[in-house]
Amino acid sequence: MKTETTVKDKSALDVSVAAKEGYSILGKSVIKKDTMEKILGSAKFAADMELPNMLYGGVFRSTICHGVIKSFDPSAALAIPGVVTVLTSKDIPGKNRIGIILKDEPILVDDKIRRYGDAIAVVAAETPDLVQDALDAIKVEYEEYEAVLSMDRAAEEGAPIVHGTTNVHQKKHLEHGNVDEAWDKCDVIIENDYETPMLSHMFIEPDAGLATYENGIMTVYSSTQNPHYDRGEIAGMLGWPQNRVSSIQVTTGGGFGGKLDISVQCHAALLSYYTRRPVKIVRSRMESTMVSSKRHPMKMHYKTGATKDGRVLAVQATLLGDTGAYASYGPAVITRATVHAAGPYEVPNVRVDSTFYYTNNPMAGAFRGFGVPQVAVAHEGQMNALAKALNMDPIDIRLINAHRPGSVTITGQVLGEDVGFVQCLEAAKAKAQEVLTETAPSAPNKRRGRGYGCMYYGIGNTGLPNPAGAFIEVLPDCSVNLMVGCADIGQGSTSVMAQIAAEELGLEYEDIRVTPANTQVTPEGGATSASRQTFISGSATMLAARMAKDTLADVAAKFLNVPQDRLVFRHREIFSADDAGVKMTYMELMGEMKRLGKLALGCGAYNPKTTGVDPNTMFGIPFEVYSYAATIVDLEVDTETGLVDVLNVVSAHDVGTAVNKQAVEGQIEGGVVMGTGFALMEKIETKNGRITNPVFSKYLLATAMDAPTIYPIVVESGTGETGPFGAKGVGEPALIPTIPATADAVENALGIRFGKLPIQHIDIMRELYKK
Amino acid sequence: MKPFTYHAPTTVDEAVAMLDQYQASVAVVAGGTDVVIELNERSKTPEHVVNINKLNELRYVKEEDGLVKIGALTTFDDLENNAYVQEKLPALWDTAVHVGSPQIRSLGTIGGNVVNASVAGDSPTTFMTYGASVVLKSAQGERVMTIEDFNKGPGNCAIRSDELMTEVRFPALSADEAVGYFKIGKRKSLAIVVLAVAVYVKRTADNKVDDCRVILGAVSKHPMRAPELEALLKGRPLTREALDETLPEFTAAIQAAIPTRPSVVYKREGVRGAARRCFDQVLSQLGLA
Amino acid sequence: MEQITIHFNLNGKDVTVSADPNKRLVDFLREDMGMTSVKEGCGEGECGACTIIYNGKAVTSCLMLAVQCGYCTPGMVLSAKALLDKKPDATNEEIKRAMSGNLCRCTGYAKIIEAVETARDVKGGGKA
Repeated sequence: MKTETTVKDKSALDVSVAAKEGYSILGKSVIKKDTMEKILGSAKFAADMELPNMLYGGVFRSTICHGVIKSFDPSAALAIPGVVTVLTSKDIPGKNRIGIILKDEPILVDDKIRRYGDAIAVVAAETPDLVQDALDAIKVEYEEYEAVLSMDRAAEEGAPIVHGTTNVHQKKHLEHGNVDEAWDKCDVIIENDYETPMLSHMFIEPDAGLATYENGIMTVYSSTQNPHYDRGEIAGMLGWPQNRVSSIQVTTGGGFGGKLDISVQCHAALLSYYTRRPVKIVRSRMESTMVSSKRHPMKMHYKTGATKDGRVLAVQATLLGDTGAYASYGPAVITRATVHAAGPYEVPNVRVDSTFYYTNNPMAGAFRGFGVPQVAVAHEGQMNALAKALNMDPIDIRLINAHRPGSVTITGQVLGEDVGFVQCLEAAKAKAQEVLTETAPSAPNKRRGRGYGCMYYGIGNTGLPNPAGAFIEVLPDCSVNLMVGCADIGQGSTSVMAQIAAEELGLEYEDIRVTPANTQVTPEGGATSASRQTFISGSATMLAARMAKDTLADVAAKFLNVPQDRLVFRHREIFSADDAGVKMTYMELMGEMKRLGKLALGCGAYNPKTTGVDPNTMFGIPFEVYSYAATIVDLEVDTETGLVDVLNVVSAHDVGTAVNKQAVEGQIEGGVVMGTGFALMEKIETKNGRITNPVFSKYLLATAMDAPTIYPIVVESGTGETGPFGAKGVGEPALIPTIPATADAVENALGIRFGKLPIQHIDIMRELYKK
Repeated sequence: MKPFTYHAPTTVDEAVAMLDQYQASVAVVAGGTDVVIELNERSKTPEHVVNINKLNELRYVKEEDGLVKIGALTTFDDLENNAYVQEKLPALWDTAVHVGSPQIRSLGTIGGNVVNASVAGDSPTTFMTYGASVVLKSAQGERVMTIEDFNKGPGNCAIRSDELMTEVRFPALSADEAVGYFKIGKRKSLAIVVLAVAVYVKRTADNKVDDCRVILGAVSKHPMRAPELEALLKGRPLTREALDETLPEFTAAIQAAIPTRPSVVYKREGVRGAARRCFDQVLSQLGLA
Repeated sequence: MEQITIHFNLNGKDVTVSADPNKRLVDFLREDMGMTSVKEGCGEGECGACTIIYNGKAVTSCLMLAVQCGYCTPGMVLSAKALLDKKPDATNEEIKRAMSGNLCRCTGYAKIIEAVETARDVKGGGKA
């Protein structure tokens, strides 16, 4: 297929910010590596892949949410010409339990059904229509149990049990200072309930994958955030060593945490294992939304006390969450929510009690922020309420309590120098003064409101090891192969890694070719989650590049007769820091390397410097670094329709160092729109455990016409001592502060407190015209 | 999709003959924005599919014999860009521009929208307010019935499986008539109707309501006429104050129509704002704003 | 099943193929014509990932800084082209409206809208 393309030359395109001072590549808004293919539509997503002799796969799923299978009859399906096989749990050669943290989810149901849509059997057929025919022809009979459909019911004595012996999935307790004694010293105490809904990621590309079994190797291409984890689960299912599984992430159309769990990988691999043919599974939108993980719905009770001059002395919080039928990332969400419960403030006395339950509701797992968006709704709601009660400016009260370099967190961690929260608050305030000049509503039936929200977010997994690695080779022509495990799901990590490698090696961005997320060639990358890849895979890349550079520097030092530590590698040249005239080109250096028989190889691995957290108090160092943000939302509410028009959003983010400034802004803008959706529109509805709005016509996302004008502000607190050149992370922080800020703005516009999200048009009208 | 036999007639007569022949199991596809989805999801499994998209003779907007006639295959995009609609039928224009998305507007037809008769359909409310009728053709001949009667038919509406809807028609408006329309959707694009209000007014020489129709959309199964509100409006002076006095009765009408539906909490309040904006449009069209 | 013969012009090339009428256009283009740039995101006309237009092929590079996951991108490009072909001087509001049938979950639309504005300005200036 010929496609004509008009491309302006690169320099004309480079509307970008120049490199950060002192660097040659870092900070530059380079064009992301896969951009042209994506614009032309030639980038291959999993559903676009075809292999000769390929079959199509599909999954037969339960239509009850709690019970057992009494009978299962695939004979009518197998009688259809073109239907190749139907497989059940009995056909799994190895382990039939998966899960990123706890292995509690069956690949195919064996003991009992725990949710609507549990996978009972997989089908392979010659065409997608035949797969559907087969699924329609399978007969099943269930014995249905009473389902646990709420946290209240889960907690009740005598309630049916979803897993094991208790419906309590996990409990956490955080104790810092002495809360009980602190209340007496408070001039004002605010106590409120908050509630956030189950949400769906709604990445635009539904889950898809293709498995092919050849020469004793199972290769699985999939849309995924964590190919290395997928490899382990596929190998476990087959009872194989992990090196017989090749897990390759293909171009992935968004994830937001929803593509961290196993989706089609095991099912496709099992079908391919038995049919010895390639098998592709592409989920429909409905199937994708029905069975991929969801955001944990949470109920939160907060009690916050402060002195009359605005100093917060105590926070006590109770957090309840529903992890649904399987754990997924539940343990990570409860831990992260607990340690972030007091927000980006130095609070001397804090107690948090968190309980997550198993139910027969859809599985909740990772979703952009791991519980921090939920607690931010509460801790920011409290901060805004406190500002009102004390008649203080919402920014000023935050400045009084804000984390600063050297502050102590509620887990007892002493923060380092790279804490840019105060700068975020000040930058957001200044920008708001500049651009949010209009305060009057645009029509008599409208009311206008401004709202405030902040957050901090620990980069990487909470108090757990989560290393990532990188391999690098500088080739004789100065081009570079970089192999890094990190999955780029659209956020742009592949390009970030290339920028980091180019900066460290003193080459150009164009010189670096990255092979990402392919277990055959890349080392462990860990998950693209927890906003960790720039920091962790980025550090690994920097270390790998540094190792290769050490070899290069040794040769260059001798050639130029300059001490190694006085050499500068920049823009394809190596020169003396003391005399720029003493120099050689990279090509000359590679020639010298060749003459000496040396290879410029490097490998790097990085694991964030954390400690575990104390199981009784949550004390410890759960994260090496934290990102910070402050957001101001300006909106209008139509009091006749209850519809909210978000007009302007100012969002300031401390990302340490922006490796690619435009990409950071893109993350912030996307996060802002998702955040307004969280606050105003989005909510997964269920009936008897079944999602009733799993499609885009019923689960509404903002369109281009609904999106506000966004003013992203990038704050750089990086000192260069942590992370690659001081970079932290922005993927999840981008979302978080907009949620409480939007809710606050609606509440301020109307003078009504909601506390429960989303605040939909119906809620607004109910409260406005309450009798 | 289940297998079916595909037909693509090029004339209305040919299409009608096909429907006559295959009426036992047939689906008609026009823009396909609803039917193709149903076929793909297998919620419709006809033996025959008749694609009427090539019937260009059904794509028109014209005024003839005192009637506005709109061909069934006219798309919402056609309406949006039609000078007559822009000038003479602002409420229909307003309806068209708020349907779905650009992609849906360039495929979706008014015939499909009316025949599909969805609870939340956009154009039936407006057409009913204009006092429209539909033209149904079959091998047996032609039937013309008001949209109100059409909606009362068995199943979703009164079309038979051997019939093709060819036209929507309604009396052309004089300078003393006006129609206002307001749709509440949850977002600014791709929004289905949460609630719609449309009001037709004919004035007397001294600017009072002579005749009127009030239609509420997405309240009942089909656009619902509200005779009690019409009675209340008749004879009223065409001033904002006099019209706005009736707004509480809109709330009462919704409360009476759907007393137990959860959405009543919203619709009984939202209806006042929607009605007020219809009044604004009517007054403005009559030069009284 | 009976096949039908269709003639059309696909990205500048005249094509005559025998096609299965029992197939959505998105499936026909992807499976029979290999046009995998036509993406399926929802199957109900709500997300716009499968957007196509009947003519044209030019792609401007202004989207370079807007792309994130890329799944909505081909559909966005075509909605932008459909608009600018019809209205080379489209206003910013018209651009937003023209793009409002294409859902994006990554970008918040800001850089996409900016990109279309750039395309409009560059096109208007006759530079591309």
